[in-house]
Amino acid sequence: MNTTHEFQAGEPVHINSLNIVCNIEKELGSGTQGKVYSLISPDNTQLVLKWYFPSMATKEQYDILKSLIQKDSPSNRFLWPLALVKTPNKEGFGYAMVMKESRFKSFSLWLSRKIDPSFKVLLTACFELVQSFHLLHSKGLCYQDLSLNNIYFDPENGEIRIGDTDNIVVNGQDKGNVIGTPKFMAPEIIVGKALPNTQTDLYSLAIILFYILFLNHPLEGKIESSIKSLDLPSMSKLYGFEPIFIFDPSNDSNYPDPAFHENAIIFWSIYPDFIKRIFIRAFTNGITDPMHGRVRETEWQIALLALRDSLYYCKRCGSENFLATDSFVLEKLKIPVDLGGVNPDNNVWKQSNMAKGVQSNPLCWNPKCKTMNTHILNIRIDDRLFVALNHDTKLFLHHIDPDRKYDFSNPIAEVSRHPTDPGVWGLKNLSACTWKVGKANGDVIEVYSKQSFSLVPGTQIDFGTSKGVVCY
Amino acid sequence: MTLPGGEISKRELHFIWIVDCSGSMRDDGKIQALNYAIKEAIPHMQRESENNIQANLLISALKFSTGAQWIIAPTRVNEFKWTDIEAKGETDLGQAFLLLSEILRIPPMTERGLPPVLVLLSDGQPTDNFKDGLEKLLSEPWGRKAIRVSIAIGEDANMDVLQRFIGDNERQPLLARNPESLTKYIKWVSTVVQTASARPKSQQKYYDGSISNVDIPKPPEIISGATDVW
Repeated sequence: MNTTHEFQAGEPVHINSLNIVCNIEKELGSGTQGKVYSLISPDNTQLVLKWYFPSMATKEQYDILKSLIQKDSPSNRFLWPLALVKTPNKEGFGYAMVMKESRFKSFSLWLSRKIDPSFKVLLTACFELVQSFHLLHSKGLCYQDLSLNNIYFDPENGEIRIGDTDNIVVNGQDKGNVIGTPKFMAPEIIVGKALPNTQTDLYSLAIILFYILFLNHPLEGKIESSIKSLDLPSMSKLYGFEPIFIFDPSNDSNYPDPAFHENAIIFWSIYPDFIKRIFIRAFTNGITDPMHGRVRETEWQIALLALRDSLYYCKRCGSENFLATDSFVLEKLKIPVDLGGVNPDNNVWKQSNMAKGVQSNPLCWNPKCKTMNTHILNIRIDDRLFVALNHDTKLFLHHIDPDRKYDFSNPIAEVSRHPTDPGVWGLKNLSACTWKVGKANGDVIEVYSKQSFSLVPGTQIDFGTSKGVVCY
Repeated sequence: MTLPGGEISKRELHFIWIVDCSGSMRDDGKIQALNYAIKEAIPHMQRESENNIQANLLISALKFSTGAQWIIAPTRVNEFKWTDIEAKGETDLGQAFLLLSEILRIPPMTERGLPPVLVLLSDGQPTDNFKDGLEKLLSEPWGRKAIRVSIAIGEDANMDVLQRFIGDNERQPLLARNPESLTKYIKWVSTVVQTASARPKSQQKYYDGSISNVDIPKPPEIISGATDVW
């Protein structure tokens, strides 16, 4: 049994920079770069060791790791290298990192429908992905090999983890061993015009978001189903040389094939217009103009959160639906109403809610329900945000303080029920501040911490940092 | 909370074990090592397959000695079971190639699939006209596009024939000199190569218009320090 670059259970591993000695527990897996082992550490923190195969244990990789360890992780969502590990009786090197908790699952389980997350969970995961990559890119780093294989999520709450961080490099530098997986690679890389950079990361991110929300690849439509053997040359053509968005408003040659791409058709008919427009841009301008045409992380963040905030539960069947807030959101996001060059007879446009002039909520998408939901309680904050008020809705600093955008650390409000009258809903003050509430009848009252006020349309709330009004 | 739609549609990926069970495989525990190695690989294949969003893995197997027979029809990875095979007879590789060429047609192959993976395991010299069989196999489009891998069991194997099966000078047959190496190579071939067919991962930085239709990562490095050698 060769022992020069592989470990056995029980073997000690000295992690000098952390001043600890661990022992190998067992091999967790093996990839193309090396093997991963779980470690038993003296203080019981769950650590893992990744040890490279000799051909992958290059000086380049060593330098990349050293550099990553010196920088801090952009956030706790990344499974970041903690320490380089070398050991006298083993060839090459490896690194230690915190183990990914078992609650985090692969997105492949969602795609194969083995797990059943809600829209809220999926949108939370999508938001966290975008936010994490925004933080990574802000540090001048790029991921390079982004795909569904290196990200994970907790199906209970949407929290994510990002693995395989050992290929992350400084943007613009010509380093690294891998350049990507064709389905997720930017076309300019596939055709050989560019190497990975933050712009190509943005493209991969858009593909991932589409996969998660539509359960289909954005470039796999009729053209994909006509390919008999999907090998490298046909992948290069489909994803690189001739990429066509399945919902391209000016080109329906790659429209989804109902035999294989039913999911895309179903989900495209459910989501509101504003998010579809962003995806259209991501895969039209985003393909033809790598430098300036891609959707930026801040745009995704705003749109995904607006989408999540617009979720409400159908009164009849309980399915999650989206409030019709298109004109409001489009204006706030400054998304041009005119798609530019769109053919009004084209399928994609005809399905659009804007074309149908829909202002009221669409029918519940659940085929067994199809109810028209009206009078959904919601709160409009500062004419900036629109949040549906459901039995489980919580508001955060993100919602009420323009200086604390994306702060979801602690809820400052939650929807509550009246203690004696179950038909009456309220909003409970979970913050330390006192709210000034203007009731619909004109009275102004103070709502202290831990108190609730009834949610009646027309009620105005002064949170201190912003003002809201209850509507339906 | 159930969302609409269904599972993402996957393409069929046929994975075929082509196993030499000629008389010489009885020596030195070779056939036992092979039976063990294939069984060992099954849980790894299942795990790998779970993470694969593109491929619907179907495993089948044929054996050849005097003549060739299919022993396992295409089976879903979660239902795949390997029954130990015994060794006896000649080495009719050409027959095996002919059988392969018959199923690598549409039908029974699908109109929408991924390059199949063909794994040839052999320990010796073919005793029939393998060239004609190989030509027939490669004349089928699915045969040409298939990822062909070969593992030589022991040093008496005819590497030249195995190389011809691969048909790509960039890759060599894998030589398993002992049972541990055989287990490792079989595990590698059943996991990494399977996913390479479904999601090729480029190790090169520049698209060089390479002729190979699938990028296959390097096989695991096995430094031979073992005591038993075939």
